[in-house]
Amino acid sequence: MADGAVGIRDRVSRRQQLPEEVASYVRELIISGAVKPGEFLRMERIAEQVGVSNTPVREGLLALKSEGFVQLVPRRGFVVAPFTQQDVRDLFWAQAQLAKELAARAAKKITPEQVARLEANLGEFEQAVAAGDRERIADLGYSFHRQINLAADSQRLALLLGSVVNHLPNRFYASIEEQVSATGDEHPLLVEAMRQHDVRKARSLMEHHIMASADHLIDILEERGLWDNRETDAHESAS
Amino acid sequence: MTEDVVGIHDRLARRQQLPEEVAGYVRELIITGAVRPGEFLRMERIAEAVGVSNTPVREGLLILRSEGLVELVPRRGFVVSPFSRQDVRDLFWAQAQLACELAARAARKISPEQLAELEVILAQYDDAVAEGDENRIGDLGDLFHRRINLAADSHRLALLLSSVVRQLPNRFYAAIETQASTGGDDHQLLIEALRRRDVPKATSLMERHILARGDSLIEILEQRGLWDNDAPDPAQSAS
Repeated sequence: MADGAVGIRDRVSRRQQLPEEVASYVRELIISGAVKPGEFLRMERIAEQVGVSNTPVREGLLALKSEGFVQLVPRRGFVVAPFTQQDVRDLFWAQAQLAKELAARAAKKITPEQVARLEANLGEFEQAVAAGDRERIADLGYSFHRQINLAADSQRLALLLGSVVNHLPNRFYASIEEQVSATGDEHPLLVEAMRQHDVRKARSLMEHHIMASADHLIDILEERGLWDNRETDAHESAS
Repeated sequence: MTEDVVGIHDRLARRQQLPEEVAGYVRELIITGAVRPGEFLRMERIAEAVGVSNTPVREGLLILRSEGLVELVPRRGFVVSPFSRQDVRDLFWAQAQLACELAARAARKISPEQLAELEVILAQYDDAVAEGDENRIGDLGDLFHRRINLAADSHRLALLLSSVVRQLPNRFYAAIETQASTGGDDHQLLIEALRRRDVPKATSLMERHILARGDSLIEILEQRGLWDNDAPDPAQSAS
């Protein structure tokens, strides 16, 4: 009988998720540079790629419109909006503001059990790095941050943070987490700050950790040539 | 010709907006205390009140679930989550963080034309206050802040801010605006700070302005008895 209930919930959330699937597919196209600012999106092709009908494609694109990734041009359809370095920095900046407040609250409230769980995460993380297991590195990085947010005991703020994080593709967090965390010692330092209930330290470490991710992502996107055509900026001031 | 396109756009937007309408309606029910934490929501009644079918009701409630206002209990439906004073404070705090940064950027970039526009809006706003026209107070207050955000020339940050603001009820806007003792003054002082390109002043005024509004919403909700059955700050420690 529990199965039945889960089934209903899955169907509901699946219906809810179709536009979200379209949105994340197109978000990836944009951020990976596969489609460029100023380019019109072909809805039939997106429908085909994601394997959905026209309606969720439209709804997904409207969601991206409200996030500022695309614009709706009357009689012509959806066009890719400029995506500047400042946009990337602003998304991470907003993320950092919320995450550092959560880190500060976590440092105040964290229990010895929660600290122990973070330490266990560090150990597994090191093993995953040694084994070069990228997927596991990403999973552990995600769960590290989730445990800190949980320890902050501030559900609404954590949900807000989640909604900001959703504006960037997951894939990037995986590769960022891999490179920033694997090369730095910020996770161990964060655990140390938590253990000592050092609120100020936790706050500044978290901010630094996230802003380093922004710089890192900008490097990746630059290498991929996302900003090669400098007229992108001209577009922006025109819009 | 153009009308036709606008028609399509409107229909699309309307279809997209139905769940958002449901979410807005139920958000108000929760925040006004018309439904209480722990109470199950009757979907048929919501469908009837908003005048929509079951699907947008489910989708709207799923939006509220992602905002943490309701929970989905398998086989029983959607139940109202605890909504604490700290939750209200956190939403306004997050709004203040983003709005302060936008105010700081506006102070650097604002043009004389944009300043003149703010003056005009503020004059109309004062008239609306004198006449006690609550709808106009709300609209103009909203417009005033949107113009500042526009002057910041940071599209993505402004979009993030509006996604946070959307999670707050707008029903009490006028009441908050008149109750928050600093209300009217703040707007005039903000214009002054922007004109003098005084970044720290614009930032601190904006923060004070928004946090004061959060406090006054909490007062209003207290008067309405939203937390009457609670111990001093219970939902926070319970959640």
